[in-house]
Amino acid sequence: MENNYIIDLKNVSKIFDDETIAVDDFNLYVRKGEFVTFLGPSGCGKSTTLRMIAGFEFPSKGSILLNGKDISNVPPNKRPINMVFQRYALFPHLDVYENIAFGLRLKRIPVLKVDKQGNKVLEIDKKKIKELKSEYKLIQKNKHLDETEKTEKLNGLQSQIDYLKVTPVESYNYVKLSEKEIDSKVARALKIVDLEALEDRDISTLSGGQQQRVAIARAIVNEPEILLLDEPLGALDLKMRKEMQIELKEMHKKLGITFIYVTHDQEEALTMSDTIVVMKDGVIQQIGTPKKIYDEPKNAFVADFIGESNIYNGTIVGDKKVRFLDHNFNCEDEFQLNEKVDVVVRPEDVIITDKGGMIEGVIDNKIFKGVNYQYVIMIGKNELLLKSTKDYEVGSKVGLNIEPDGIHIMKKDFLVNIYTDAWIDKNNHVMIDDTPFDCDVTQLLAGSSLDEDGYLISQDKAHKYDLKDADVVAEIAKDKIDIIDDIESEEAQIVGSIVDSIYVGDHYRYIVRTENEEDFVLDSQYSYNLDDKVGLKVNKEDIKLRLKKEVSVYEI
Amino acid sequence: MKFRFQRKYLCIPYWLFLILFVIVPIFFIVFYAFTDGNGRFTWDAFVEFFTTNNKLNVLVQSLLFSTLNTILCLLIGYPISYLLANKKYNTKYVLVLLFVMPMWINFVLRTGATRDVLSWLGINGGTHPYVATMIGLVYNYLPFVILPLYTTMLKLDQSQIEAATDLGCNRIQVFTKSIIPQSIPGIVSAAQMVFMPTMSSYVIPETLSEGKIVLFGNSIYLGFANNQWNSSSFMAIIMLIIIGVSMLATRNFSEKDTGKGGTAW
Amino acid sequence: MVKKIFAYSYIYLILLLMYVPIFVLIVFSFTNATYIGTWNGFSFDLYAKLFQSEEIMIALGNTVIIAIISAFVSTILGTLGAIGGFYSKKRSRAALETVNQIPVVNAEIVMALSLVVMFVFIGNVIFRGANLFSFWTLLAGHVVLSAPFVYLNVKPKLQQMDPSLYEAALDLGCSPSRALRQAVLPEIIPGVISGFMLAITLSLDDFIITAFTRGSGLLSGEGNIETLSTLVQAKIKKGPIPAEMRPLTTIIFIIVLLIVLFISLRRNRTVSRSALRRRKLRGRA
Repeated sequence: MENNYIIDLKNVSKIFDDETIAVDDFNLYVRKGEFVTFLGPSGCGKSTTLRMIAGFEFPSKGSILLNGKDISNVPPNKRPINMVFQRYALFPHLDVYENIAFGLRLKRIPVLKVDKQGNKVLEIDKKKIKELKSEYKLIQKNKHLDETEKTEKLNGLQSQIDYLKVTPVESYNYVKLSEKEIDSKVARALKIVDLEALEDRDISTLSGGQQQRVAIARAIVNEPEILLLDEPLGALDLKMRKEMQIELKEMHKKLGITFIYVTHDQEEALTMSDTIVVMKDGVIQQIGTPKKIYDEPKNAFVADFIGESNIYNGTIVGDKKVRFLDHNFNCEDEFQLNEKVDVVVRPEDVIITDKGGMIEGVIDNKIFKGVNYQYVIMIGKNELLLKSTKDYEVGSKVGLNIEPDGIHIMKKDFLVNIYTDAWIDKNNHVMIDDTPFDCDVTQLLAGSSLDEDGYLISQDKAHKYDLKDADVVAEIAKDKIDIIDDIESEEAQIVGSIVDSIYVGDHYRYIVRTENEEDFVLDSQYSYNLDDKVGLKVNKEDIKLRLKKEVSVYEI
Repeated sequence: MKFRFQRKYLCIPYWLFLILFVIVPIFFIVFYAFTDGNGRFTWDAFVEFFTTNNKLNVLVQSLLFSTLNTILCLLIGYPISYLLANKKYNTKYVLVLLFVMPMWINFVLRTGATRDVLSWLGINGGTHPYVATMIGLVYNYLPFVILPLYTTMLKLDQSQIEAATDLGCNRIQVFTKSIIPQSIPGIVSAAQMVFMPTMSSYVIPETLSEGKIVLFGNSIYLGFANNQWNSSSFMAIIMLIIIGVSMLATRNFSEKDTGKGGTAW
Repeated sequence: MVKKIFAYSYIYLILLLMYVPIFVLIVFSFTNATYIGTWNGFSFDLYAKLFQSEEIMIALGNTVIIAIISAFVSTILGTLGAIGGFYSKKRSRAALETVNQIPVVNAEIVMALSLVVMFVFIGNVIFRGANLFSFWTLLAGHVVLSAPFVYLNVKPKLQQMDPSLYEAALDLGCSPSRALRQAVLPEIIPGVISGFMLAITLSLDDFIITAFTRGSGLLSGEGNIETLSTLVQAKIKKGPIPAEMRPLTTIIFIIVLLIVLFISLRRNRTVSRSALRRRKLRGRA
């Protein structure tokens, strides 16, 4: 079936020279005329993806299809795609008019060749033959096609080439746009961005907002099939940004071309897009309409990133029943009984009452936000963020209700850290990330014990094993890792820095990344900042081990 | 995989040029410094340099001349740069250009003119070789001091100076505690512009002292003129070492000058 | 007020002292006397002599030819080097900049000697006793002298430039070479020009490199290439500056003065050419 996908990214990955994976197995299609936003924190790969669509980077794996044709390796100047750059990238040596006309002056339009009598000139189309020949070679080299299909395609191409070689066809001259045409196109673009009066101005004399408009005009004047926008409003002040958001949205409607927009501002994404692609660490977290992403975030990261939210640990206690904040709530999602889940509650979905309610809490903090108050309410030792127009005093007891449709339940990301390339060193320590951790190796063989030389002795004392260099899988539950503030201290077994933190109700969930890029996910009561250097400590009994090979391999 | 143009390839010609005409020649200097006429390894040039009084004298004399010239140029040039950069005294860029203008007149011609005028005034190289040479050196290197100092002075943080006054510094204290520390990068680069070039200068001492004063540069030139590749190469190595040491010694200061612009992500 | 007078008198005193030798030569270029200090009445005789002196004219011609050619080569090499270096990875850029810095900090005489020993070695060992010294060795020497300064002049312009300009041009349909010409070059052209001017100045003024690396050729024909610097040096070694060279100082001084005036009086740009063109197009010129 023919689809109307204008652009289709298939299994696209980008690995840079220094082996950092910027984009990992990215799959996305965009419909003609859609407004798609890539949303994520800095370094999540959203800009890299955009640059691959523009042609400034080429995918390491996968392919990019434009109208069904593979353009993965087409240089940017040959793509019908234009971009609005983060810092505009206007040409300072040209004035507003010439900046906008830049692309038009490079354009060549095919014009039918005619002789003096006005008859069509027929010529052998050498260019087309050349194109077909290179396509022929590409198919020849393609290893993924099956043989019959390949021969069929090749034969088809060959007959086309043979036909063109002997048959003169209508030929074209490629001519520049006339000054008149350029002028009318530029004038139209200037009108769209509302800058008619400024065409003679130097770029340096324009304000940020005006430069932004020039950058947009410069891109849309070429009538691209897709307009890419790389955080285009990042440099503007708040008021200007709001205005431009509305204008861009209007422009999108008017022009009817596909917009792909990159931003780290969730509000911007929610207001403008038809579809939002939430990214993190080069991986798509969720694709959906703004409403869907806001109401039904797929995981704790999306929930935390999009809008304000309360995130709690919960347990499924029955059919459409979830327990968190020491209370059983009705919910709309179905999960397995007793499954541990993340529960997300948006601050505006909590209804505050004077008394009664499903749960009770004490107001800990109150901020007047203009349209409403923002409260932080303590429920036991859990915090709850809440927005309400009602006025309560700090310290007063309140009741809280949450409707089933205000409770969003998500599968837990994971519960344990798993290290698949760990091994046992000669002191019977497990090496994780090149660091020895004290562990109990006797768990590898039921009933075994260690002899004085450190060899593992089976229960019946008949077998002896040397586990040195044995490959194991190690597991550490995320609540069994302690943070040690003093990285110099004896207790800190391994040192890393905090690369991610999410507040989940009564505690924080951190990801600590070591120098060797190993991640430790852990829960902690205490607050740390991103990039803080911390030490980690794991108790001997909390490391679960599993041999990769049969234990008999290590028998001596 | 098709060859794809990358902008970084543009520096390949320059790289080749630098390797061929900068790096390789230095290896040749090292080669000649430690070989004899037949290309065999020898310490001859090394031993000769450190045992002949003549050559060591040249080294000491050059160091003295360079130091004195650097100090004199800084003493004369510092106030000029300060005044030129200070809006209270000077707002015209032309004045700065006037100080730099002599640099654009052929320097051999200027050196000759200085010599001729000095002899006209009675300070000729035959009778006063030291004074004449010193005047010639200062005269030639003064613009090289003024320019870097002037650019540093333009960047003086006026609010820091005001803060110093506000905190109770008198004029002299403001100068020693705020202006001088702020202009150190300029002083360092100005000194670099004078010190090494003086040591290796040939035309100025040769002309103004009528050949009586031999600095390191003259010595190397003599070696070149007499095709003594080995001993002059060794002297060149000594120069290279001194340059290297002075670069290392002043590295911390000049780094501040270039400004470490953190690469914003 | 007193402070101001004091400041000005200091500035002008030093300025005056700096110009004394030049002014003396200029003054005595208008009288036909062998030695400065003797005034034989006002005349332009020395100017006539200057232009009749084949020796000086040849040296002058050589100097200008070398300056222009070496400045062109240096500018192209240095500019391409700076652009390429700017877009290279951090480590290779650092390496390039370190090597680029060598000729800048190195003593000219050491550089000159290193080139000479290399040419001597290659001539003796590889070409069996051939004399390599010629215009080409001289050109190499002058380019070593000035290309690093072109690099240093272009580099800051690249750093100030919006890093996405090149990509923006590609995006709008330029081929890579066209993008460099139409988007990057206009941004760095002030640096390229000042680098070119500096290269010219360095070459015009150079004595050591020229004296070391020159061979026969150019206007000097069979003899060693003589430039203004080497010619004047040869003359002043034997005695005072020859009388017919004094007018040369006047001429150079006037040219330099004109350039300085041009720089300081540079006018502001008026309406751009493109704006005029489209006004005509729409018939409202």
